[in-house]
Order: sequence, then structure tokens, then C-alpha cells
Amino acid sequence: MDTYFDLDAFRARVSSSTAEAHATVYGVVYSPCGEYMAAVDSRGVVRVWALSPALQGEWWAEGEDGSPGVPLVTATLHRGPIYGVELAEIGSKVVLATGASDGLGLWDWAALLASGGEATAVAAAQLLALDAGDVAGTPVEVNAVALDPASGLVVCGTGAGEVRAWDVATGSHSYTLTGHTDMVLDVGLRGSGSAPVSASEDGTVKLWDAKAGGCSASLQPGGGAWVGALALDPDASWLATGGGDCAVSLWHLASLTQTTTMETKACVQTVVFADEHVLAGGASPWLYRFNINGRLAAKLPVTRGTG
Amino acid sequence: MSKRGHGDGESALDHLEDVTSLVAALRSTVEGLVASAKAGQIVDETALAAGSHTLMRLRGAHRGVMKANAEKEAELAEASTALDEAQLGLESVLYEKAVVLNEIKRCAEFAFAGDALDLVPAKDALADAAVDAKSLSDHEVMLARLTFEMAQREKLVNELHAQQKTVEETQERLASDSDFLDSLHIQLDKFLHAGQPLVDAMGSSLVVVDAETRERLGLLPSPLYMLYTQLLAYNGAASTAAMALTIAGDTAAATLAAAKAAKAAADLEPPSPSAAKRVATADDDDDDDERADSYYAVFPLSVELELFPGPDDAFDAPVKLGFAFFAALNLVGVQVLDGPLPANLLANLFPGDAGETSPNPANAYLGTASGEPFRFAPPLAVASLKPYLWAHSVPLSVGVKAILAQLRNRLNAGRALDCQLSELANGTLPLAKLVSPSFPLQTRVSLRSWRQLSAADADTAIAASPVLTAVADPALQTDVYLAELVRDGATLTATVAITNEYPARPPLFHLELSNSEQAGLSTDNNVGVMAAEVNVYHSELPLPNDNEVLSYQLRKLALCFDVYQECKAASSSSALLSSKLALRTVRGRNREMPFSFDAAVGLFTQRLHRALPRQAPAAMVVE
Repeated sequence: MDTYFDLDAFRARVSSSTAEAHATVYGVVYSPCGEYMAAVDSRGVVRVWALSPALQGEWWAEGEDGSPGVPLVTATLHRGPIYGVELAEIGSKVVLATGASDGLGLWDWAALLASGGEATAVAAAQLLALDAGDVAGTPVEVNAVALDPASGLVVCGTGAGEVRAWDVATGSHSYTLTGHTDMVLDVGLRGSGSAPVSASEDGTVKLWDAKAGGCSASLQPGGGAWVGALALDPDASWLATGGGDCAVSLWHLASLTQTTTMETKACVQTVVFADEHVLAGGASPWLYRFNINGRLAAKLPVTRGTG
Repeated sequence: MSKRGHGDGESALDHLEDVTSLVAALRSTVEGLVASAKAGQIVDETALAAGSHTLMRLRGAHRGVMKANAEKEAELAEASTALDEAQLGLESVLYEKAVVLNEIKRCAEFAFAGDALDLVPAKDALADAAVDAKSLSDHEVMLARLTFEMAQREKLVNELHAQQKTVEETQERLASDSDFLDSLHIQLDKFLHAGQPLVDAMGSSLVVVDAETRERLGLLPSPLYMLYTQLLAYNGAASTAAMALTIAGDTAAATLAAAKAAKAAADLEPPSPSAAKRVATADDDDDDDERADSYYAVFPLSVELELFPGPDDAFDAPVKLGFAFFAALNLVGVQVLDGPLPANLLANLFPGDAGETSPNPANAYLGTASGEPFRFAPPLAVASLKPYLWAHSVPLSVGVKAILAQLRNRLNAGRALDCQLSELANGTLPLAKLVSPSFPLQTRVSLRSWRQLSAADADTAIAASPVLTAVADPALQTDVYLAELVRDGATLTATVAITNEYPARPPLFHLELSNSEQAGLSTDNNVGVMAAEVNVYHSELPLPNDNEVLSYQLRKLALCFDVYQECKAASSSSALLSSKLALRTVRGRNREMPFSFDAAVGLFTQRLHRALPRQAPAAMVVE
């Protein structure tokens, strides 16, 4: 038998080309030491860059191995898209938490950096692989993760509509919060690991009290449209949300009042507090910068789909 | 009184005064004696004795002079020899000086011609030496380049010698094979006669050729002869061969050509291109491109193979192929003579076989050197059917069987593709015959248009798609079509690239979605997932006939578009679950929709991991 055409090789090329053509970066984090930046994408890959060349203006020096634009580490951590990433110092270790299509992973940051992307070393750098449950026998995805250095907890929002937390050091399950009727798309922490905030496909944002074991408040910022992103200001006094309603909503948490709605003309998939501003990106090729009072301060052109 | 000379012996001058005084004394004595005699006086004996004594002394002096003179002459001869030697040495020095001066002059006037030579670059010459060119002088670099060039040329010369040896051996083997073949028909005739009673008794028939065919068979060049006999044997052996063989052409011209070829072979002269032209195209007056014509001149006889559609074949009309022999190139070419076939039937029938180059290394350069493709075939069927190998290397039954099977596959695929394209051109999505009854066939998507792009537009469309650009093979003939699928105001535009290796190489889709409301609801991720479903995972449900893979891909694309629109419109997952379409409308932060059909549960789901299908369909493998 003489194989005339290698269909598997052909499919592999098509698959990798398609994945590359539609690759999306879902999250970016900075190391606590401030020297590295890591980005995770839809192919399950994490890439780590050194920041010092960027600060010296050499970041976009395209080119060959060794140039600042080439990642220090390129490692495949999951078999599917990595939707959420967080990096924090827990105990004596810096831990990278990744929420992905096939579950939750915790990685030793120092070992990951030292691995150089070599598969065996990357596998050895994994601290824990946690089961996020399943829906109808199918493993659920982890859409968002948050790390709390104080309590040593990793909190994640799952495709089963739950908020789950584990102890990073021991890997033991800490709590599961239920109440959303659809998948959780983003999570944040109000000061501690026991006070998570979750945004969901069901159109609500829930504030949780894990110690009490329940939901302390439920907000509906988009009139029922899915909520894909949330951000808390450093004092956890303000909450910004965005999603399918094509707007960013600003909430005052103490009074649970929606103070402002900022329209973006396209669905929002990421929001960030930056000083006195709120940055938002999503399906449109624009990055929006709003004042805290809801006025559009700037609209910056970016690549399509900043979410 | 005597004087000493410069030499060690006495000189003649040393005796000159003695001789003079002795002569004077002797003269005085003689004059006294003469005077006494004249006077009549008695001879003075004393004077006479004195004269005799003087004469004796004079003789002694004379001997001394002679001796000194001889010594001087010997001394002079010796000095003369030394002088001659010195003079000769000086003349040699003068000659050498002239030579050296001439060399110096030539060196001064020397112009280095190395720069005009087409030498390898210094980088290449020093690559193996692991020496940095900067550390060497220009002269050393040039020496390295020349040394490298010399080594390369020596290597080429050695290769040339090896090739020449191979050619000689091949010619000897060919001559031996030719002799064997010439005698073969006699033995075959004997076998035929011997077996005839058995054939008559069993009521069956052997493959028998008539007299005219036999005459033509004897005239065929060796490659065509082998081709014919292989096809004939296969046709007789395989009950399902469904084909007919003939030898077409001018027998008289072939006789002449064979005779001239035999004469040339007997004269040990390889047939030159011009000779081949004279032989093969005696009445061809078109001499516009004599050189090219001579290369492409074909033998007057050709083998024609007519393939009939079998019971399992999709093509419905006979197909006739003609095999001709390029005498000057020593190659067999093939072309489609008749039949409802795509123009690219023979191209890429086998990997890397576009039919544009010769498989014979001896004349492979002609495809480009002549500035035009080989004119017989698409194009040199040499390429398409590897007759060169066929005639010499491929085992008989396996080679013929595999090639004919591949031809029938191509014909069936071409026919099936034509039917599908025809349906599409009429605005209908062709319905593939699916194995799984659970696969949903109903779709609310309609085909608004289907058209083939021009070559220029096709190139533009491929360039605009990262996937098509990355995967497209420029060596293949590729047709590009543009399909527009519509549903609920949204348009899904698919750029479909179909190669002539269809269906072994399935069509590739590039998708673009336009929807006035799209910006508010979704991102491009789902378009990419749809493209992956159609391009990569289209074979998850086995098709009864791989030739319908385009239909299946389009059906799957339509269903993906259905799912996309249903998920977009659904208020919640439960709505789709109740409609038995999917468990979850979206999954993950990219809000991926369920485009993968799970036949086990009859629902669409999101594909968890992008693992590739493990097993290729059997139709993708050629025996």
C-alpha cells in the first residue's frame, strides 16, 4: 500500500492555520517582580516576555531569535483555549492560575520561566490540575480565575454557572457558590477570597459572601443581556461591567446603585479600571476610555475584537 | 744576466739577453775566423774552440727559450680555459638577468583574471573550512575559492565519468533486452500454437492479436511495446478491466522510422534530435522552430487505450487515451483523445506529477529550456503515468492496476464533481448521501449564488485568506468558487478552493460573515470554528462515496450557519435544548457556538479539544 496523499498532515496544516488565523488573546498578566508579562490565547498557549526591552523602546524590534519581540517562554498549558489567567505570590511561590476550556491549572511561575517551553519541564511546573465539574457528563470550562494572596485561595467562574474556590497550597476544595442560571464569564474579588463577584451569561452580576455561603446581592446591568466582563477599583468601592448590551455599566457597591452607563456600540468583553478612568474593549475595533462620570475621554483604534 | 718572469718557470725573455750576447760573440768569432781565412792565416784553434763553445751555449740558450716558451704556452692555455669558463658564467648570468627582468616586467604588467571567473562566493568556499573570511587576505580567499572550485569540478568530472559508465551499461542492457524482445514473439507464437488445443477444449479464449496489430506491434519502440503488452496482459487477466487497446498510426512511416532507428543503432550512433525529426516527420514542412520540433517529434505509431465505464463507475462515456513515443527524448507521453473529461484529468494523477517536466533526468531541462511546456499531453504524460518507470521498473500487474485504478478514481471523481458543481450553479445545495441517519438534513439556509472566479480573482481570493494561502499548493491546478449562503438577513460568503486532486485533497473553505447586527452579538471566533468544522472535521461521519465530499462540506457549512443563526436568535440554551438542537448555545469566554454534531445524542455541541480525526478514509489511500 502506498499512501498517495497524507490527509492527516493536510488536516493538521489546515487546523493550525485556522487556529492561527483566528487566534485570540484572552488575558494578560504581569509578574509581581514587574519584569515579565504573560499572555494566554485561544490555542491554549502562554507566552512570556521580558518587559525591560519594552521599557527601553525595543519592544517592536521584529525579528530573529533573541530580539525583544520573541517570547522567552512559549508553552502549551491546555488543550483548548485559555480563557482566564492570574499571577500572584501565594506563600513562598509565585503562582500562575489558568482557567481553560479543559479545566483549571496552577503553575509554578519560576519553574515555568526556567522551562523555556520544553514540554517535560512545563508539565513538571504544574502544581495542580483541578476539576471544575461537568455539565451533562461534559467537563466544564473555567472562564475566569482570581487569586487571593491573603487567603491563599484561587477562585474561578465555571461554565456550569458556579463560583468555586480551592486552597492553592493544599489543593483542597474551599467552597462552591451556586445561583447563576448560566455560565460564569468573569470573576473578581472584593478585598478577599471569600467575597467574590461574578458576571454571567444569565445577565446578572452577583456579589457573594462565601462565609455565609450565599449571594449577598444580584445586579442586572445590561437589561438581561449577558455580562462578559467586570472590574473592581482598588478600593472595591466601584464595579464596572460590560457585555452583550454594548455598554459599560458603573456601579457604586456600597449603595448597589448603577451610576453610569457608557455606550460602546459593540459588545464588551473586557473592562479595566485605570486611575480615574475605565477602559473597555470588545467586538469592535476600538478601545474606549471613559471618565468615571461616564464621559468618553478617548476612542483608540486597535485590532478587531479586543476581547 | 737573466731576469725572472712572473711565472714559476723561466720565461723566454729571461734568455733573450744571453742569446743576444752569445750571437754577438759568435758573430765576432766567425768574423775573426773569416778574416783569418781570407788573409790566408792559419785557423786560430782557440778562436774556433771559443766559437764552438759559444755555439754550444747558444744552443743551450735556445733550448731554454723553447722550454720557457712551452711552459708559457701551457700556462696560457690553462688561463684561457679559465677565462672561457668565466665568460660562459657571465653570459649565463646575463641570460638569467634578462629572464628575471622579463618576469619582473610581466609581474608588473600582470592583471588578475580571477575576478572575471564565475567562482563560488567566498562565503560558500569557506563554509566547510570554518574559517572567517575576514581573517584571510584577498589572495588567500581567492586561493580558497579556486581550491573549492577545483574540488567541485573534479567532483563533477567524476560524476560525469560515473554517468557515462552508467549510460554505457544501460545501453548494453537495453541492447540485450531489445534482442530478447525481438525473439520473444517467436516464443509467444509457439506458446499460442501449443496452447490452442487446450483453449479449444476449455472453450475460452486467449488474448489474440490480429495480423495487422502483430505487424504494428513489431514496429513499436521498446517502451511502447512494453506498455502495450502490459495493458494487454492486464486486460486479459482482469475480468473487470473494461477497456480496449489499439495501435494507431501510419504503418509505412513506422516501418521507415524503425529501419532508420535500427540502422542508427547498428552504427552505434544515438539518434540525434534532427535525425529523429527526419525519421518521424518526413512530410512536416513546418520548420519555424526546428529544434523544438525535433525534440517533440513522436514515433508514427501510438498506443490507444479506451476505458469503458464499469458498473460501479460514475463516468458514463468511454474515455480514450493516446500514448506516443518521443524518440529524441526516449519518453512516452499520454494525452486524452476523447471523452467527457476535465482538462486536467491527467495532471497530478500522482504526487508531484504536474506533467510539465520530464521524468527522464537526461532531458528534464527541456521543459524550461525551450520556454514552453511539453506539447504532447497535459503535458508529458510521462509525467502523468510515469511510463519511463512503467516500462522499466514497475512490476507489471501492480503498476498497470494501480495506474488504471487511479485513472478511474479520477474519472469518477471528476464526473461526480461536475454533477455537484452543476447543481450548485443551478442554485441548489447538493444533498450528500450520508451514512448516519441521525445527521440533520433539513436546513433553512439557501444558496444565493455560486460562481467560479477568474484566474486573477482566484489568486486574489487565495491571497486574502491566511488559511488558503498557507495550505494551497501552487503546483496543483486549483479552481476557486465563491458561494453565498443566506439566512435571516445574514450572508455567509465561502471561498472554496478545489484542486484537481479532489476528493483525496478535500476542498478548502474560507468564510466571511456579514451581518448588520453581528457587531452587537458575536465575534469572528465562531467563523473560525465553522471554517475548522468544514475544513478539518468534515469526515467524522463516513461518506458512502468520498466523491461527494464537497456536498457534505457544503451541507455541514449550511448546518453550521443554521446553528449560528439559531444560537444568535435563542434567548437561552433551554430554547435550543427544547428544539433538540443543542445543549448549550455558547461555551467559554469566546462564546463558542455548538457546531459539532454528536451523532450519539443527536445534538450539536462545542468541540472540547481541537484534536484531529484519527483515521483517514480508505478512499484516500491508493493501492
